[in-house]
Amino acid sequence: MIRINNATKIYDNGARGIQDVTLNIEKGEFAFIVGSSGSGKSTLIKLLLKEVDLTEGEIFINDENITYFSRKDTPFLRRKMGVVFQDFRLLPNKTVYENVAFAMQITDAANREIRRNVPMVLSMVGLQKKSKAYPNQLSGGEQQRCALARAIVNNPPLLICDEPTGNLDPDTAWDIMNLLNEINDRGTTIVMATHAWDIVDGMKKRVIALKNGFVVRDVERGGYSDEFYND
Amino acid sequence: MNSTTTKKSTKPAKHIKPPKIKSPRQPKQQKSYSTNYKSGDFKFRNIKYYLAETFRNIVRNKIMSLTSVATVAACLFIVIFSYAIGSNVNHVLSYLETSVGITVFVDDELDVQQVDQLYHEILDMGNVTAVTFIPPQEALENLAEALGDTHGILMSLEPDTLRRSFTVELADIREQRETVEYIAELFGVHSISEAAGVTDTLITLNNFVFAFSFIVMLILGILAIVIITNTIKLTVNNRRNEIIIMKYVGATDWFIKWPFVIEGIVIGIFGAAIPIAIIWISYDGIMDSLRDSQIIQMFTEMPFRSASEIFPIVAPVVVILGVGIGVLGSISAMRKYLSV
Repeated sequence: MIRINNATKIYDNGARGIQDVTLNIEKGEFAFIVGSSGSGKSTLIKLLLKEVDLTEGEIFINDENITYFSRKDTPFLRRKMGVVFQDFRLLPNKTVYENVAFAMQITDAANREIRRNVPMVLSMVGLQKKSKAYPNQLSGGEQQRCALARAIVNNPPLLICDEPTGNLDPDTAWDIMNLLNEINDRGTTIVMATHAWDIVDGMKKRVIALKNGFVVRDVERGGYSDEFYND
Repeated sequence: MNSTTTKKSTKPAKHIKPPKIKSPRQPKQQKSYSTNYKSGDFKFRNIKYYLAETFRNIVRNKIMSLTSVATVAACLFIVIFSYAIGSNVNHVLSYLETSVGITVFVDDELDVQQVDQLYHEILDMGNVTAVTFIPPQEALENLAEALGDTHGILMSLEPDTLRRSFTVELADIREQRETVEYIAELFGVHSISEAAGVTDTLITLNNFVFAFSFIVMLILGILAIVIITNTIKLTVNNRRNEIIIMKYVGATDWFIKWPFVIEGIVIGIFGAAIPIAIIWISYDGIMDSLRDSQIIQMFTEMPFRSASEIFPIVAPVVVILGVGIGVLGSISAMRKYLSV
């Protein structure tokens, strides 16, 4: 699903994002990206979203080389993946239903399809009764569930999560993780950058640890604390 | 940290080292997502969404939208106003040009045939549009009328007191000097009377009015674009988070731009319509009262342009200008936020 070959990102100001990273994430996998602040997690996520360009190396998503994609191609790449952020990033002037429907609207989906899919994913994330509420009328957990619904409504093969539980209390965070697990069980590949050690330890999924931009550990069923092995 | 546990779990995993592949810079891939989708283009099925978003933007930012409309309207008001003045001044000047002619006095010795020959020689010249023969009697009457000779003193003089003359009308008064010099060379011409000073003043005034109104309109146009760009920038700035979210979800630049562009068009149309309506409705009234007023007597005979002559030209230009300003403003205001 994701193939990264010798990827290096050096920003214009000379800061090193990631260095010589080589990774292979298979279809249907659930991979945590862990590491302290400045380790390169965010850069990796930005590269996958094509928010920044690589300095060296290549990235393949679904066997397509996205390294040389132009700005024009980026929206179409992003439609093939769902994204969930720590701060939810919902459109404040749209209802829960409209926020989710918007992700379909931009892909030119037929209205009939939108009317069918949106209630389906809202009920999957447990928000069917809040479909008419605005984001500011929802709790943090509900907002993140809405963001999750928006991310999966187009049924993307890849879901990228950047600290999705960062703003949530532990119980709500586990609700979200259970949902992500359920989505992963249906075959969606999930890449999740996180600081939440308890979640990483509890999930027992693949863990890729970054430090100073390098991959320092990549274990199939690891825990968060393992990353300090190389310290 | 529990080092025993960590060591166990850091066994090399099967994912960790895929074969290294050298990655020299390659030419851009031929296969591209955008060749599969065309959703970035303007789609009629999205019109409902674009219009709803435009309406929502305008209503939500009522004050800002009204400010933008008012700014465009104020700028275009001055543009129309200066055009109307410039156009009228030009019109009046051309009228005055035709009424300022030159008078050619004929030698007393010339017989009727020679006068007729001179008449045709002058008329055949390139820059001459009309030649009128003025016999001494008529010249005397004209003079008496011009001087207000109520007691008939002038009319009591012998007609032969004055010379025979021609009044010559020119096509282009800018070439008056050359024409006068040429006529002066002709046989039988005694002297030439020309209002050279008046002519030069008219030419200078005409050029000045043209240059002045052009510069005023240019400055105002640029000013309007700058103001609108900043006003729409504020609107876009208020919505920068929304734009960034849309980009992350996979919206194309144009899907995001269209509602703002339509908003710019709406602001431009209203901004143009208001001054056009105000000036169009009040124009003829103002001109009539200007003619009727005795403040400046010369106005009474001036051939001002009517609203129906001015507005068919200026209205479409101003609407295009307004829409252009609105669209330019919205596109340049958005550029910064679309590079996510």
